[in-house]
Amino acid sequence: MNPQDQAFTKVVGAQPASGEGISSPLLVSCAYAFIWLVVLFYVLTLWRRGRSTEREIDDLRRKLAAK
Amino acid sequence: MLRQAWLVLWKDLVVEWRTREIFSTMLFFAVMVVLIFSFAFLAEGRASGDAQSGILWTATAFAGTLGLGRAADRERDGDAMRALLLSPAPRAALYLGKLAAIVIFMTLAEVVVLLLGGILLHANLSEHLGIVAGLFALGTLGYASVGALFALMLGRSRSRDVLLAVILYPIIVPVIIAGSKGTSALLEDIPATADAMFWLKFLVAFDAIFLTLSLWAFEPLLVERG
Amino acid sequence: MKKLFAITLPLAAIGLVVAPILILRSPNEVTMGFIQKIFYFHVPCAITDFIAIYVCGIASVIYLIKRSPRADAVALSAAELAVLFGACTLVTGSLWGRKAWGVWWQWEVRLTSYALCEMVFIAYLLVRRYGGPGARGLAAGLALFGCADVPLIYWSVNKWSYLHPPPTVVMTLDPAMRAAFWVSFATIILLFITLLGARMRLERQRMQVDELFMSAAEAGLED
Repeated sequence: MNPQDQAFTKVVGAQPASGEGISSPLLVSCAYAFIWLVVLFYVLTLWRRGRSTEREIDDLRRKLAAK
Repeated sequence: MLRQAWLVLWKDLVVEWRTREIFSTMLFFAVMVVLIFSFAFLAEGRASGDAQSGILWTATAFAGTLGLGRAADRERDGDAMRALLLSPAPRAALYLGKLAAIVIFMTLAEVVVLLLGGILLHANLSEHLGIVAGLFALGTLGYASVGALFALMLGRSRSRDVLLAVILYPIIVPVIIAGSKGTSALLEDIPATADAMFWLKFLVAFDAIFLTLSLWAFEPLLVERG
Repeated sequence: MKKLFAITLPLAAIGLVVAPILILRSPNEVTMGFIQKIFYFHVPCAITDFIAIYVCGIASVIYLIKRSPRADAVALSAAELAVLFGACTLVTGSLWGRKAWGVWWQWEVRLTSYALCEMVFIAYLLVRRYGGPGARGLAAGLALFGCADVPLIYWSVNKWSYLHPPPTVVMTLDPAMRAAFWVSFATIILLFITLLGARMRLERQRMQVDELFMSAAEAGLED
């Protein structure tokens, strides 16, 4: 079954039986958690790189001012 | 411009004729790839049409990268590229000359690889040789049009050998898909010539787009490199 | 830039909280059930990845023509976000496929095309990192070629894929599902704009470091 060729319609009545294996809520949670974690990780790296760059700028400015 | 492109091509052909370095190393590598992949894919001495086609195109792609790297290294040695750029020749002529040289070297290696494919892999390529030749010719042109540009641009970069593969392979995936699927369509029990012709037309589109892009991008990228 | 942050950042933060609530409250889809809820952020990530790819490509062309450092900063920032949102698209698509197809990966046209585009922009970042002198132009060329290649990649993979391509149907969403989708979509786009701005700010700081370093070197303060 190709997910993309479905037109999404609201379920009415009984839920379809879930397949065996990993549960859907777990997969959906993992998907959302992955996006959150990746974005958080990226923001953290930006922040760290920003801080070290600001330190470099301050350092160079101090050297130039001292001269 | 064509005359200057011819002069660049002639220079490369003369140097290659004297050394035979690019052709021999490319050919050896291509043959080794065919042999190694044959061990992986042959079952009871036979390989499916898909495997035969895949082996031939993989050998072409890998050997092509080797050839591109060596062809670009020649321009780096003795700063030959700078000398070419200082000449009054239009940039497009330089690119076309190098492209033509690389296409010729790759084509010569491919002829041998295809012969090997027929012998070692029992690939029945002779039945639709015209279409097979078209697929390989257009595939080589598309591959080389992108490869020549980036190989020359990588001239002085660190890690240039690795970076060429890093840059080139994602871009030329459509060429490999088209070439290998077109070839395997012809190697089926009942050859699907309509499919092969589709892939041939696809390669024409790819070549037209990327040749044009490469001709346009050659100068801006060269200025950056300088 | 600060004004833009002041708008997009709080809106994105609100969206990241509101969207999951709307998604959980939206009704389950009739054939796929709960797993369909991945669609609400998988599709926006895919669209945003596509936008990031073309922002990188256009900025790269501008850089090649005008040698504008600002265009280069936009291209690099967009390339990083293309890799980020591409990874989100592939992982969420794979998780969805695990339930829908029973396997973690299928050589289906969209996932395969996204995987290949992801490789192009990972290559862009590798070239920027390890390319040495001239890496900017080289990467710009790669981005340009990568963008031109996107439709060709899709076309070739579509023909190659043994999975029958889906019929060309405009996806219809039940009205009860639309709110969740559009809030998720807006959230991801706002996130993209915020992160792009933040990354460009970092790049501007780096350019400032380069300028100060050159001044210091001229003054004989740096070796």
